[in-house]
Amino acid sequence: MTLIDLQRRFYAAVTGAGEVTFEDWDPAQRAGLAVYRNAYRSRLIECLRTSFEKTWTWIGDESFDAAAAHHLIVKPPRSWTLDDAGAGFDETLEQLFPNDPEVAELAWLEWQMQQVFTAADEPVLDAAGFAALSNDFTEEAWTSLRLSFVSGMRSRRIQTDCGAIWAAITAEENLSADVLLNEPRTLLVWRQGIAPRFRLLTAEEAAGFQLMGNGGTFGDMCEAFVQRLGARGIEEAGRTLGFWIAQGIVSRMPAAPAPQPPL
Amino acid sequence: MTTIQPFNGFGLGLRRDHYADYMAGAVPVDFVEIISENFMVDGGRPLFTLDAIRERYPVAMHGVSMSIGSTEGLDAEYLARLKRLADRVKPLWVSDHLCWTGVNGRNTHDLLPLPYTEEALDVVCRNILHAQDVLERPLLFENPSSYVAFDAGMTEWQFLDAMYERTGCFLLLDVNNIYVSSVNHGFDPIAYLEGIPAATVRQIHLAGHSEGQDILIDTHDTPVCADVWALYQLACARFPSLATMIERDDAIPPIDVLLSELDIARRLSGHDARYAA
Repeated sequence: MTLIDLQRRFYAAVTGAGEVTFEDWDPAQRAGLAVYRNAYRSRLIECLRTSFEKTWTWIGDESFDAAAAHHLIVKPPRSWTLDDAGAGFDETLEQLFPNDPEVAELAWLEWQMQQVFTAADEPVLDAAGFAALSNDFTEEAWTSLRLSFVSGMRSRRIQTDCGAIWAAITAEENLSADVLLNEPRTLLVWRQGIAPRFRLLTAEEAAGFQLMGNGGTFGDMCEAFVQRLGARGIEEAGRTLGFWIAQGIVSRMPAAPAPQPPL
Repeated sequence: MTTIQPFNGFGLGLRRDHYADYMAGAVPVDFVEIISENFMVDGGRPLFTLDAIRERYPVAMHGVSMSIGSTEGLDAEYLARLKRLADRVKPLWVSDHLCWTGVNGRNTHDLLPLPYTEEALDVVCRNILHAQDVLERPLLFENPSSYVAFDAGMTEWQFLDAMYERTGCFLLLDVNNIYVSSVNHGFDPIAYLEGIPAATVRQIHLAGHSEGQDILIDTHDTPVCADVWALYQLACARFPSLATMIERDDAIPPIDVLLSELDIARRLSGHDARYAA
């Protein structure tokens, strides 16, 4: 048997992928193979338990281990790093728990918190830096101000307050309230310094965040805030801008795009 | 390609439970060994911590994912990340295991056994030469614990010797792994040690194991046993220049417990106890 044939056969036996017989192996070899087979399953389930500790707590041992075993079948590990075994686990849970959206959303939150934990370090624009750059801004400069957000940041629309579940489990408290939100909201995950953070955005902030994330100007954001909040919209837009800078999600203020020559 | 100078010293595996002790620079060891994959990340706290510890201690890098026995060649992204980390850490050396971890683009994340055949030797040596070329340094490879042995032309120690001859790589001898495999497969661990050329060994791992049903399992969650200490003494007599490390991966005790175990190694080694901070 060639080495690659042996490895394919051994892999199938260890992971349970396909029917493999080992009648030509002696009892000692088969006993040894069982060690590798048990280790494969237990190592990966343990890895998922560690990566999704709060989801595990939320749904319990039996449901979690069954979901983890299912995930290993539908998404067998391919990456060099064991840490990637949890990629897509939220999607697996979404299929397995269609009536409990908080399960997949909590798993998404846990996964993204880990991703931002090791995301690339990049400079952020702090309050002093922003003040220096905007010190002599004219009204026109404020209106045309654009922002670049840090690249490691993640966001998604959620139906449930999975952040409250996270907090309750962390504090070892029971969560009695209904976790379903009144309306879908945006959950933001980012890293402040070396500490991963998350928070739910207000509807206005989410709209402003999306607008400026897509290249819109601070003037566009102020306009959107005024439409939603009336006269206090401008003040609220300024407060939101300051909040973003204080939380370390703004990396820089790019120059306005150069005017395009007429076609 | 440069060689790896012998480093006589006594160290521990760097584990998260003990980060604060190391950050304080209060752990009396000559070096620490990191699991390379834990730090092959883009940024954030792991690299921040590693940089701080690196300022205080020499670091050896030990990997689990190179899959040097892979018939499909080595993962280019993995090697590139490992190279970036090695350039950052400037380690004493970079090591991994004599094993394979997956096939057909899939990964078991286990150290799976190779048949010690000429074909496997060709595959392993080709991969070692490639890895050493990319990393621009000779590497160390560790003998694994194994639970399945194949009928093959070579013993494990003959295979390791041939690897060294063909590629110039060095060896990280895990004395517990020698013991575990010798019990599981019925070979003489002393013959194993005698079959390893003295010039090839740069580091020794010491660890504990557990007893399964008719099989020993390399669990790294218990203290080093008496039989392994005895084998370690023989190894130290045979390999006069090497670094010794206690490797605990599970049921990790307070740092003082591991330091006490490391003191046993210092005492038994007959080598100079290097730590003089």
